[in-house]
Amino acid sequence: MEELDNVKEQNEEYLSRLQRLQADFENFKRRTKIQSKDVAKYASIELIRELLDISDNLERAAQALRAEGVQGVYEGIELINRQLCDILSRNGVTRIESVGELFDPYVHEAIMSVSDTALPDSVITEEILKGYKLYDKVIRPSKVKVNKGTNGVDQ
Amino acid sequence: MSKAIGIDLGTTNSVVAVMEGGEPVVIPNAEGNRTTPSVVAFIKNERAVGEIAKRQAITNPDHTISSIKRKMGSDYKVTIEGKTYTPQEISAMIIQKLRQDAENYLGEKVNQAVVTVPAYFTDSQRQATKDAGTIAGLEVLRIINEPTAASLAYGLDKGEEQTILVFDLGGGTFDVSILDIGEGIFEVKATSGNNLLGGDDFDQRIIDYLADQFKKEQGIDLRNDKMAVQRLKEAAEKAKIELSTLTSSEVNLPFITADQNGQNTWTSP
Repeated sequence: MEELDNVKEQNEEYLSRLQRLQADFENFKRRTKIQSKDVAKYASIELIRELLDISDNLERAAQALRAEGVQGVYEGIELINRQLCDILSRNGVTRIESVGELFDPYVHEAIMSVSDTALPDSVITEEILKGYKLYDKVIRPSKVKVNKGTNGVDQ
Repeated sequence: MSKAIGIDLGTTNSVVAVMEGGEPVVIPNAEGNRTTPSVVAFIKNERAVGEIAKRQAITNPDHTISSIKRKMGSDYKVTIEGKTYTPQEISAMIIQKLRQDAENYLGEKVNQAVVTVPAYFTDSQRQATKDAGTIAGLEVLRIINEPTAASLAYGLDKGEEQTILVFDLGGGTFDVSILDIGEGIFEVKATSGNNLLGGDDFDQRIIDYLADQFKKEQGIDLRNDKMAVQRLKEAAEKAKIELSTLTSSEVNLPFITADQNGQNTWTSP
């Protein structure tokens, strides 16, 4: 009799464990289905993040060459960068607008603030690092300098 | 049956996880990260928590609250736009965001949670943490010690009786605990640490090291150049993360600054 009780108890435990696993699995399946679309769309986000550094550096190289008056090489580097940017933009990468726009923490990161009463409050006055999106997702926010009116953000 | 979530309500960053198929899984937030900055901001009529709040902190310092965990259990209050908030109310906003991210991930409502606290938290600090969960609309099933949670995550409750040391280096705090574990019972024997030491300080040290080396070699202080500082910051954090698994890391920042020689690429072991 005792043995039967034990088996019954064990049965119940197995059943509840099975039910829980089943529920986990059903949720997992449903989520995987939803996510698999996104996964393909955003799979390259890490690679793109690193490629953007290369693009930034090519731009810096071009600027340095221009400053030194090496016109031919400067143009060459700039063309290579444009080539890279074209590839990225064909794959869904867009620049985040910043200077002159109103500061938006969903796409911009404030690094510094200035106080210029001649300019509207919360307007971006300078871009320190460029920001990019992959489709609707921010790969990296643009790092910016923001104007803060004399009374802060409350006007 | 809806799921309970596990919340690590940190001083600098917070994390939410859920058990799936018998294993804990960290839930990514809406921004796609596994940790959420414990920062709350009031932007005009909007409320932002996490990454978004952190990004705007510098332009909105009077309406941005961070490290509220340090005030838990005290009678400290923050007043914003004439409204007064307790630390548990601010913490509740962080929990609410974690809960939302968990619900989005799971595709179902979440009503129950387990929240961790430092082993040295007093009863009133624990109660405040529990209240924060309640304010966020969650039934707090249990408040457990952070080192205990860490031990559980490593499955140490299942082994033989033993004494272990938990080394918890967070973004802004550092806790060390000695635990006796046996037969599913965890006893915290001792705790120590530094309340003002964390990963952020490591970043700063690396930034300073890089800037000092560069100054020595090139005679230019990168700390005066805001773009260079930003690039250094990112590179320093990346190097720190790499150094967790590698013994050396290369920091390569081409054209970090333009000097008259055009010699401006720099690599350091």
